[in-house]
Amino acid sequence: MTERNWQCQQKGEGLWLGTFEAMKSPCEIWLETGEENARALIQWAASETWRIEEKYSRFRSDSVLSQINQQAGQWQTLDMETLSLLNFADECWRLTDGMIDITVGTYLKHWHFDSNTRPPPRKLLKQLAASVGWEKIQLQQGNLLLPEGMQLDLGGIGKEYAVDAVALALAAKLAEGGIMVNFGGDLMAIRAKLDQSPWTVGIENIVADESAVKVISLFRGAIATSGSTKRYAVDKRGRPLGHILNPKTGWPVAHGPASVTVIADTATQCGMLSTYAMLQGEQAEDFLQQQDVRFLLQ
Amino acid sequence: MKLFLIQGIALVLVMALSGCSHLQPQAVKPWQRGILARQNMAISPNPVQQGLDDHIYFSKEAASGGSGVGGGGCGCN
Amino acid sequence: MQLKEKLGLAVCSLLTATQSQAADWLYDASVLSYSEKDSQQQDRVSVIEPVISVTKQNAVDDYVQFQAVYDSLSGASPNGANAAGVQQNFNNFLVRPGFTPLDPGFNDTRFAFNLNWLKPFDRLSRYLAGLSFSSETDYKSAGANFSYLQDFDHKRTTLTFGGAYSYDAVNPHGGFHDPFTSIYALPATPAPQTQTSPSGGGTGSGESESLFPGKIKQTFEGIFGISHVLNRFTLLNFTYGLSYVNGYQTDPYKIISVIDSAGLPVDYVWEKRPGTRLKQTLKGSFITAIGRDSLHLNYRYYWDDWGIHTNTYDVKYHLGLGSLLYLVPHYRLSQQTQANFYRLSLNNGQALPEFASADYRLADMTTTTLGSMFGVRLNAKLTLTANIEQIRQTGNNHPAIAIGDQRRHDMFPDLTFWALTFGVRGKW
Repeated sequence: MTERNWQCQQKGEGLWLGTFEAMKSPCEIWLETGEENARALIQWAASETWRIEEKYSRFRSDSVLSQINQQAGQWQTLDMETLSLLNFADECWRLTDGMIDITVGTYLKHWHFDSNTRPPPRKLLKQLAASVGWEKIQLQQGNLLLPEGMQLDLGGIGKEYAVDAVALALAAKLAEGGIMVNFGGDLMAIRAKLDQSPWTVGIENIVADESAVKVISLFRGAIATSGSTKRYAVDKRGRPLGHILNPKTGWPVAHGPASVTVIADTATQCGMLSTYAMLQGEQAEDFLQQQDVRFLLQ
Repeated sequence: MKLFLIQGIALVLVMALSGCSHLQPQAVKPWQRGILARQNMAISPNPVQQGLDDHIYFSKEAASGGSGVGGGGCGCN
Repeated sequence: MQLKEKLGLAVCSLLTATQSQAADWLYDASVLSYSEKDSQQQDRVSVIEPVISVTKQNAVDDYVQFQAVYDSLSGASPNGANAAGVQQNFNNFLVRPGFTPLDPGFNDTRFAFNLNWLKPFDRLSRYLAGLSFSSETDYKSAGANFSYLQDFDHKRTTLTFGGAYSYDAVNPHGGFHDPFTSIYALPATPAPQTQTSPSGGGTGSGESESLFPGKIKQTFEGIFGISHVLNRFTLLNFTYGLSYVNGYQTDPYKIISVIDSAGLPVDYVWEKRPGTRLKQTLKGSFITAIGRDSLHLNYRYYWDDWGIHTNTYDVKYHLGLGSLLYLVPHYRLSQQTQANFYRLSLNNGQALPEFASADYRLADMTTTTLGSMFGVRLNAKLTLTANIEQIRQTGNNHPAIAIGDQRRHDMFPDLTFWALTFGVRGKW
């Protein structure tokens, strides 16, 4: 593990930007306060983000999530934070008729979204389907029984949860001044700027990387995007396959938008809505219109 | 000396009459709790000073209590 | 309800349960001092009271706190007798005519220790528990408390149920005196060095030292509280408290003047208070944000079966002056009615009441406090505070019940003093 760094730079009169890397994304903390305060808060935010990342990463064998997956087949006691996340996952699974299901981790083990690996064989995915399905796990009084062979993945929740949790804690620590937390485009502006000017955020263009396709202005609120320009596998004809899997098939949903951006109250809420929209395939736009949220399709 | 009390009540009334939303019930989401989480919004923002004051009043008045249970005895009253 | 709203509620639950996991060591060290002087220009007690409090904060609803208090008190304190037109003799000191008698040898030191901890049961409930111990040369106390807190409606409302018990022992210098006996009588009861214990301690030739020597007083407390987030700016809190005290509650140093028909003292007798006391309190708090400042309004109604009723109003305004300085001006008014066994004095030759005390703290009285705290946030980890307040106690200087000579003197000298506290607090 390389040393983890964070930076703090002044971006205006009393406006500070903290940057660090976490969850494979560039992370930004925008704060309106004094320098000393800003530094202390940014350092705290970075370490809190790294804590969440290390706790719920599927790619680190010593993470709490990996330990849970390794102990599949036996009852295990969960800490309170993990329990709340699983309770939340349970609620999402119910609300989306089983389309958002963190047991897709079982499939994900065999997918590699590194932009050149082929998908796993359909036959394997069909076999794995028996070890997917939130209804198969048991969650009672803080204890979890994950059936053997099943794997949980919090990749679809973890980053947005980190955005909200860090934003909330910063708002509790900083009495006044604007606060925005932006982890690779999933963001929450928990408090408006003091001069009442909006926060402006560029939504990444999927075709031409680096140049913003659209600038969104918001005073308060959150944005999250599902679908990605960077994380995909390729089929035999070289076409990209997105990383959002249908839990029923283990295969990415076809004919949908390349990415869905939703604007609402919290990053976690936006993330769930955009993921669910992605899973609707061609119906994504209709679904979002019914939901009465601001959104952006690419 | 009751002047301060009257001022306090007047302030609350002014807040209510000016259409200020401070007295109207309204659901508060976790991400809207920034103000309530401030130190000066705690029930006792300066607990040590409060403890010292409570101890003075305990030793010099007949009444005590109201803020919690326990805390230790004193032969001073 | 739309999926958007349902998801929003689920996010509420998630974020409510997992707020700020920051771990911190917090400390607060303060020293309080004051010197009392009454309106007859008599110096009363001087107090110096340092406190240190250390908290290990694991999360918002998870901490352990230790507090140590040292309290040094010296000077003179009213012994209960009235001012009179003659020189008064109290065995070991004399009091000039016209002055309220103060016992000059009032010295004590007190150590108190408190350990409190708050721990979550689950995401919406937790408990607060505590142990306390205090020791003075003539008083010992040990106690324990436990409260259960349950949140409702995404932590918008919290209910608290709590209870506490304390076991106190009074062991006065000079021993106990039989109630209503003259202070000039030879002590009838020698000072007990040890409480008679079931194991028969104290019967040997060497005096075995009990941890709780003297007479016992037990306190049973219960509390019910509700706190409610009214909106983004305002918090409400209501508590009802009940406290039952059983055991020795007489002040072993307080006496009562026995007067003749001319209002002049002929004798002084030791006071006596009931062995039980049932106290109740109702308290309401209103806390609201005004810009970056906050206003705290508190009202408490207290009543007990000794006949005391008290109305207490407390107003504090937390005023920020830039990001560095803050002020907390505050005002408190507390008005109490007298205990039903309070007596200014006893009349010579009349039948003795069952209970009587001339302690001014059980009389009709008003206490007002006006002051301000000043705080300087030196940096994110260090804050210095100073609190200055004037406390004033006034009562009935010339009560209607006073007769003869008593009418010519101040029966309740006003007491005014300034209390100063300096503090340092922050985190490691």
